Order: sequence, then structure tokens, then C-alpha cells
Amino acid sequence: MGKKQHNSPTGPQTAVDTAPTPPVPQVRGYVFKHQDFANPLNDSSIAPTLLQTNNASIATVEQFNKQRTFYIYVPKQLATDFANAPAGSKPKARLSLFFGVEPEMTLFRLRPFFASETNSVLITIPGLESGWDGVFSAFGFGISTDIINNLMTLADLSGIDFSVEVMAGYSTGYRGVNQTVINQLVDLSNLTRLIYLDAWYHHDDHPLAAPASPYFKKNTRWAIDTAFGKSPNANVVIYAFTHPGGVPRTNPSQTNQSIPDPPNEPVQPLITQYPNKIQFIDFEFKFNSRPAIDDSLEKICLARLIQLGIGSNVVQSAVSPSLMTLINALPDRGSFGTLGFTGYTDLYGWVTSHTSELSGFSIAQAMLIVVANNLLGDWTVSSHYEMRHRMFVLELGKEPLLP
Amino acid sequence: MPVRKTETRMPAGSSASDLGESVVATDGRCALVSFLSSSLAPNQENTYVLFVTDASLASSIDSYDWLFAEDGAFPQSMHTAVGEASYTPVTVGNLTVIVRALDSSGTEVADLTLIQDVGPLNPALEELIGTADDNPGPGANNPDVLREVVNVYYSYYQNVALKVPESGDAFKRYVCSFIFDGTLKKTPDERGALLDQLADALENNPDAFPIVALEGVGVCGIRLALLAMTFPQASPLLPWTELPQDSNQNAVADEQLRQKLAALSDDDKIDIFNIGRFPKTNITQCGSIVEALRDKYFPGTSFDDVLTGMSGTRAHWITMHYLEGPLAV
Repeated sequence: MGKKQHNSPTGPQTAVDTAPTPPVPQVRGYVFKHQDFANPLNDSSIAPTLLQTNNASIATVEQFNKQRTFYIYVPKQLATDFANAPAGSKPKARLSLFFGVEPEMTLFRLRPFFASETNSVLITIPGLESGWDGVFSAFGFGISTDIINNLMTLADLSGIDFSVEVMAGYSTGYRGVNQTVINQLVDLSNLTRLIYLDAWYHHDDHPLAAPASPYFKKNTRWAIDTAFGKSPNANVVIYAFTHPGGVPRTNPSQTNQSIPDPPNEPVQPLITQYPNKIQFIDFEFKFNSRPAIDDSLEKICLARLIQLGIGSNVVQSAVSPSLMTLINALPDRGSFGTLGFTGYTDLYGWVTSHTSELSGFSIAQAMLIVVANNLLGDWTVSSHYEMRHRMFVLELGKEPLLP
Repeated sequence: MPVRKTETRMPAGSSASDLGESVVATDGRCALVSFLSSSLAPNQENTYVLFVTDASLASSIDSYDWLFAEDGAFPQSMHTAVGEASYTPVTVGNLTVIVRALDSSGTEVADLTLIQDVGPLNPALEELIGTADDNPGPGANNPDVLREVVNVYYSYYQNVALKVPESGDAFKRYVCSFIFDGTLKKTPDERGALLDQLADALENNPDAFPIVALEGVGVCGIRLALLAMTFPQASPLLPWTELPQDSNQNAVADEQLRQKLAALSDDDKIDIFNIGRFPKTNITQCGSIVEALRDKYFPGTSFDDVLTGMSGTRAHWITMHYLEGPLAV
């Protein structure tokens, strides 16, 4: 509170109290930014616990050392609140880190999942797949606290206090998750959810712990033990939808989905060691009391792609009534849940109560529309089984990814 | 090429938002303008222009990085030598457009982000096109043009207004006919190529300007010399100049007129170019020209009369004036 001297035209100078002019509140839109960073997993000064090193069987030097693109999304409410709050009272950010391939932030429509959040931020971290130009074996890309701070600054949240609460690995991104956790490149003390999205492996190729280590060729296990050791509130969620690519099975040729087919990377010992901390969501095979619902989930995902395509590439009148029946029955995207969180529609229950809509939906018919119209962009492929792996996060990602 | 002349100034009396959906840097030194306004239509190309009105900033810019991040698609990046880029959204959802101006070392010297949304194509039109495809008889000719006019320019031509308002929608329908005409005559690529030629003439080849300016510019195919006779409204850049109806004489007189256009100052030519370049101002000015022609040659006649009275003869003449004139009568 300051005192200001006023010159009165009619009298002597007087001292009066005036309230400072409050700053004009700003209304901000969402913030979406991108920036390239070097891989902290390759830096011995940052990631000494499990350093990622190159050799001729992994990648060319150029590809191994190449900077790659990170994306950050800040919902408008947080952007607005941070801009308006006075120093010392700035809101904190709850951070969700999605380790994937690279395009998922937009391709999987992850931004709308976070759009109504008041204090959450989503960052996506790229990953590397074998077969890419100059990449002969997939390898991980990590994120560090420094990178997060840089991204926050880029997104007009300079200096914001944040907590890493969710870390998710999709597809090749499981490597980045594991190696980031093992090296503790970010503060894990507030981690509540460590997620493997149809990517559940031993992680036993590279990099490797010393042969004498209990974690030799067990990077996934190492990451989980590290996470539980650092965060009392951590939980692990594993989604299994495809094999052998997503979640390799102990009996890869098993066709009976009514009996369990445990994954190669065992979950039962984890469940025993960390009771009530591990959720294994097996869409493909019966697990505990839950049946396989892979076909139903695939139909839901295909129906969603067509629904999203109507109005752009797809003309609704060209979609058969039997497909439209399921499409019209779908709840809002992102509302299905499998983890039991409040506010989500239980996917298993919904499948049970919509057998008619699901049984009338032809995967072959739907795939004709999806493929002809490229409804998953460059990731559209003719194999409906492969499409499972590529589609399901777009449908189910909200529940696990929101902090 | 750092910043083209065409991107160094806003048209006199105009702001970025007059040209299209836009965002202006907080320091006011640059502005990003989108040809089209939200909601954008899927599969319709849109063009984005970065204006750099601060000379110091402009002198530091060497190239531009663009990122188009659309829900349901891969983020697309591109690098351009000039402050203009085009992108065609494909899905319904959010679209984020980020442009970064870079200096010669690749260091960012300015950046702007424009947030837009992409809406569904007009379902009634899609139904019409689908029905026409499946049935004999008159149908929906050139669906691409129909989609462009209905989905892309609807909000722009719905907002054209007469200086003296009239009841009914005859004026809007008449302006819309010029949009149909312009989009039928030239594809978006052809319109873009013509704009590139004009920008190049302004930048490097002033002698080419009156030649290139022969063709109508933008979605309404506005002849720049005619535009200069009505813009700015209070004090047009060129005097009202009627051209002979005889085609040979008309061609000669039109060339002389374009020489006068070319003799305008660079700033005036850049303003005229940008007014014709952006669909929003192009359509608005189309309306102003049509109204000026009506006031000049058929004063006191409503646009409803223009379209329906005398078997549409007045509309025919106004269109002739628009395309070739104003003609001496």
C-alpha cells in the first residue's frame, strides 16, 4: 500500500491513501509448444545409473545423438491462473509424462483429455523404433527435470512448482519410462501412477545392468522397484491388448481367451510383492474375474475413429446402419474407465450391457471405412489386429493419464 | 529474403483482425493472420501470413519454421523462406499453428501461436452432393467449389453490409455469386500462384505489376485497378475511370489504367494487394464495389430490384462493370 502525492487545484497538497491499481486479469487460451532436446539418457553426467550407450547394432551416431521433439500442453485454466496469480501465490502443476513415439499428443487427441483440467500439464516424450532410417534397434529417450523446466518456461509457466505424478510408456516409449525412472531423472516422490500401455517387456536387450546385479536384463522390474522405493503413493497399471508385439505371452499360440495367458514379464510376483499396487488390465485373455473383451474394445475403437471422421472425410450416410448403431451408442470419448476411478463409465459393464450394438458391428466393414479414409492418419494400417495397439489410447487414455 | 514488402505493413486503416483470424505479438511487432476463420473446414487449404511491421525485427529475420498441430493427425512442420505457409486440416478438432521467425543462425527472434478449431463439413451440403452423385439429372456441379463457398466463406459473406441497409438478403446473395464465379474460374492453387506473382512483382519486378494485375485477384476475382477506385472509401487511390465497351479499346484503356495503378506508391500497392489477398477483405471489398457500381449506374434501386427487376438486366450490367469496367455507358 503506497501513499501518493496529489496536487489539488483548489487547495494545498494533501497526502491521501490510494489502493494500488489491481492488475487487469488476463484470459489465456491453452498453450501448446514444442522443442527439441538432446537425450539425457545418453549423458553420463545425468544418467550414470543406467547409461545408454551406442554401438553399430543400435543406431548410426547421428541418429543416436539426434535431438528430438517434445511437446507440452497447458490447459487454458492453468495458463490463465498462472498469468494472473501474484508472485508467491502461483498455482502448482501436476505433471503427466507420456513416453511414446512422437505424434501421440495430437494423433491420439490427448489434448482434449486435459482441456478442462485446472492444474495438470501433459508432456510427451519421443521414442525410437527399430527399422527407422539409421535405427537398427529401438532405444529409449528420456526426460530430465531440466528439460521439464525448459518446457515450462517455453509454455509461459516459468518457475512453476510442479510434481511428476503420472508416467506412461506407450509402445517403444516403455524404454524411456524405465530408463528415466531407473536413473531418477525426475523427482519420483510424488509419482502416483506408472503405466505401461500395451508395452510390457523384460526390457532385457539394452542398456543392461551389470551381470552381477539382480536387475541384469530386468529393466522393467528395476524401474518398478525404483518407483515404489521413491514414492509411497505409486501404483503400476499395465494394459495388455496385443501380442506378441505389445505384451508377449508365456503361451503365444494360446487361442482360448477364457483362461489366462500370463505375460512373459511376470505380473503375479509383482502383485504378491506389492499388494493393491498393481493393476493388470488384460483385454485379450481372462485375468482374475475379468473376461477378455478385446473384440468389443476393438469395435469401440473403430466406431470411435469413424465417429471422429464423420464431418471430415466420412459422410454419415455412407456408414451402414449397423455400424451407426454402435457409433451412436458410444459415450463421450475419454469417459470409459477400467481402473475404477470416479466419473468414468466402467468399460466391462458397458460391454456387457451393449452386446446387441457390439454384435451387429462388423470389424471388416468398419476397417474398409477406416483404411479408405486414413482415419488414424499415417498410422492407419490394413491389419485390424495391429490397429488395436494403435487405437486404444485414443479411447481409454484419459483415465490413466490424468493426474 | 528476410521479410517481403507485402508482409511489412497492414493496409492503411486496417488491423490484423480486419484481414482474418489473427494473433498479434504482445510487443506489437508482428502479427499472424489466417486467411480463414474458425471453424475451419476439413480438407480446405488455409494460408497463414506473418506480418512483421517492425523494421528492426524484419531486418533480423532470415527464414520461418511452422508447426501445424491438429488433433487426430501428425504434427506437421515446415520451413519457408517467406512469411507465408499453407496447411490443409483433415480432421475435426483443435488446430494449433505456431510460427517461429529465425535469424540467419537459426535462432528464434519471434514466435506466435494461433489456436483454431476445425468443424465438420456442412451436413446438408454433403447430403446434397451425395444425392446428386447417385441420381440422374441436374446435380451439384463442382463439389469442391460448393464446399469451399459454403464451408469456408459463409461467415465472411454473411457479414457483408451495405452502407444504407436494405431488407432482404439480395445483396448477400449477389456478393455470393461473385465468390462462386471467382472460385469457379480459378482453383485455390491458381489464386495462390497469381498472388505469388503479384508479390514477386512488388518485391523484384515493378514492370510486371501492371501486367500481372490484369487478372482478378482472390476469391471474388477483384481487378485491383477497380478496387483502387473504391478503396479507401473516403479517398480512393485512383479516380473513377470508365473504360470503353469496345473490346479492343477496352483492352488499351485497361492497360493504361493498370499503368496508373503501377504508378501508385509501394505502400498503396501493398495495401491494395493485401486487401485483395485475404478472403475476408476481398469479399468485403467485393461488396463495396458492387454497391458503388449500383449507386453509380442504378441509383435508388434496391438489390432485390437489381436481381429480379428487368429480368436481371441491372445485375448483368453491374457484373459487366465489375469484370471489365467500369464501362462507359
